[in-house]
Amino acid sequence: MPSAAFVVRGPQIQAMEAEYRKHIIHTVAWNLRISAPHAIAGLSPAEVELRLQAALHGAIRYNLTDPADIEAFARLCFVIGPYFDRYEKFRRAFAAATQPGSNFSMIEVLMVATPEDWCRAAQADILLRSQEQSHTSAERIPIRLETLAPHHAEAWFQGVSHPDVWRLGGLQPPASAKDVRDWIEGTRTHPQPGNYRFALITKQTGTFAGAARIWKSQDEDCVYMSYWVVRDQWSKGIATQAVRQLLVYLGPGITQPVRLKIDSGNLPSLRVAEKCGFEAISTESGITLLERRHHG
Amino acid sequence: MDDPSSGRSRKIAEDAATVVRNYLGLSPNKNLTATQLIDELEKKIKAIRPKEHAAVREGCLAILACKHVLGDLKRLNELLLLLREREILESCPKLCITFQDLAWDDYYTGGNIKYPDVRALQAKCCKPNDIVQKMQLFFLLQNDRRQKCTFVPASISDFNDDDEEKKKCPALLIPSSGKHGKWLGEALAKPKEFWWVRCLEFCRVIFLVSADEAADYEQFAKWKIDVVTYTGFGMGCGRAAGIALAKKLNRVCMMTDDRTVDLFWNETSVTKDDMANLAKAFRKAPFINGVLPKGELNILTIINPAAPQHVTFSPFFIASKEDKALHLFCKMFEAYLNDQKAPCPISRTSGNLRVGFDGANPNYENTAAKYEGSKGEALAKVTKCDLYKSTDEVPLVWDYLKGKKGFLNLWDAIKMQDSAMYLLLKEIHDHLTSGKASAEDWDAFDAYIRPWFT
Repeated sequence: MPSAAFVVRGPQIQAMEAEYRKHIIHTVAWNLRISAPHAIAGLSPAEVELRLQAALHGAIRYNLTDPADIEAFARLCFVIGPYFDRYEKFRRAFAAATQPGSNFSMIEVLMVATPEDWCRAAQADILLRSQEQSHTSAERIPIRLETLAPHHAEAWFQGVSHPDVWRLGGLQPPASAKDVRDWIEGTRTHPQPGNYRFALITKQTGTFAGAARIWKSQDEDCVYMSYWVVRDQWSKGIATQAVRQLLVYLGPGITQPVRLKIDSGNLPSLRVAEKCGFEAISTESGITLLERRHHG
Repeated sequence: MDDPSSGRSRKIAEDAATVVRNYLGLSPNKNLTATQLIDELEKKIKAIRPKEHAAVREGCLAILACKHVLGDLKRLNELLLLLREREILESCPKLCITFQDLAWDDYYTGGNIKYPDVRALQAKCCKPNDIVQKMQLFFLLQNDRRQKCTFVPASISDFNDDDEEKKKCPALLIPSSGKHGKWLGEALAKPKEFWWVRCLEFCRVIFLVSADEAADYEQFAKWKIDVVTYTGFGMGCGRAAGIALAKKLNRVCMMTDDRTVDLFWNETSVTKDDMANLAKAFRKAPFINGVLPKGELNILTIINPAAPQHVTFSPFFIASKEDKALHLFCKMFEAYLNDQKAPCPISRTSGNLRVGFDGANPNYENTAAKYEGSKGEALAKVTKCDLYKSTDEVPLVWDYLKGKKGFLNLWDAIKMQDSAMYLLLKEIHDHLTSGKASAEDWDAFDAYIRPWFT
């Protein structure tokens, strides 16, 4: 029969451990706002909470007690994504942690990962969450193209600052709204022939929903296009509409092929491209090159 | 104009690398896992793909930043050198050094010259005359020797048993090798002719010899000469061991060779009082000091461990040029520190000290010699290096030199390589000290030159 002290002490220790983990995880989130603001900027309070909860549950599930292990796990929930541990290669490593008597430490994960793994894990995490959301919201929002102007700067900055947007698109997180405004103003005072930039604006509410660009290649006989969509407007058909409207903008008379370069892990964007008549012609260094020859 | 988010981002990988770095810096009790980590890094380096260099180096540096792997620091440093070598060879596989492939008789034209220079030296780079690639080539030449020759500085006792009088004077450090200690025996028999023998009364005298030759020096214990041994062989090894010893002794030391006959202070042979005064004076000097008439750290070198910046002889100048090479490095290092806005003198030549030395070398002859044991094995490997080529790019390896160019002694082939390395370093020195070096040049200096001398 267990002693009374033991019976009382177990839950107390568990409660203390839970508090301890929670404290570490919240400290990580706080520190990241200073040391890696791009990992948090653009996240809604609910999205931050999702990551905090994922870190807490992961620390319990994998029995992480060393502060360094808890901290590393929590950091990865932010800089890679809340479901990073479900990436196949990491899942195998974490499986060992759930075995009885396991002496698991985060080093097992940190050392099996290559830079490519981190990128793929981040993309897999985004797609997983995106799929979960698309089951609940599938409405189609009509948009129009509007020439990019300085008054779009703030929304452009906010939109691309969301980690899901820049991570999935393989983009650089911008430093500030001022940089964006300066850049937009620069494109207007020094326009480049054959280079057009647009804001994607929802028809019903006039909300900024993303951005797109078409430009004539300097080196190849082709036209390139690119686009991105604000995070909370995903799965609403906006990217598909943007590409189709860009093709209309180019007009039926265009003789050159139109190309897209898409990160090979960005599956939704690859699907949009295929839907709009693009075909993959090569893949190099994690980037898929797609081309559309017969448009209009 | 590109938008502020264009260009493929490496941000995710960079963020993950930061997590790894933080983890290694934070985590206590990682002795076991640190070893596993290094094993993992070794595997990765052996199976490396070009794009992984940066990530693996990041991992190595992260571990280096952690105190708990100090025990494996040497192994980790070796992995970093290996990684750097692979990076260089991938960026320019044809890197090599070329010079005229003279016959032994053309190098040694008679007389007592033991260290002739190679001629018409040219670094073969992928970008012609590129200074960074020249530094990479120097790195390859040194690293080739590092992989073939062992050097482990001695484990040194404290030598704190000196009486107070001896502690006031500089310790004399004498790297020595060869001839089974015969020369040393002759010097001890003629104390009036050898300055360092006269100093035995008031200075600690310590010989530095390869562990393989230690037995030859046991006979001198009765003269109260200490012998410190190290693993390895060659001129640079002996002198590098001397630097390590000076730092351990933490007092001004004079490193010289066993044929030094005198040291003059303002043209008068130094006395016991002079030596004590010199010890005091050199506590304020830079780390390393040459003496006239040659300067350039030749023949006699004064070391001041109290100086803030330390350097050392490269153990991988085996047969010659180790002193001149360090002199060049000191001047480059001073220019580097100036560039980093942290100026600090590293070496000087003392204007009022002059060394007297026995320059009566016998005529140098082409004589076959046999090298046995680990030294013989290392010399055979070093002289198979195909980074040294003739001007029409024939590898100047031992079989070729022996069969076609009349070389009989491996040591002369090594001297030829040393001379080529030195002249290459001189070209690098001339550029870096010209005031025209760019930030990229200094980064290359830090990566490819500095590790061999610090």
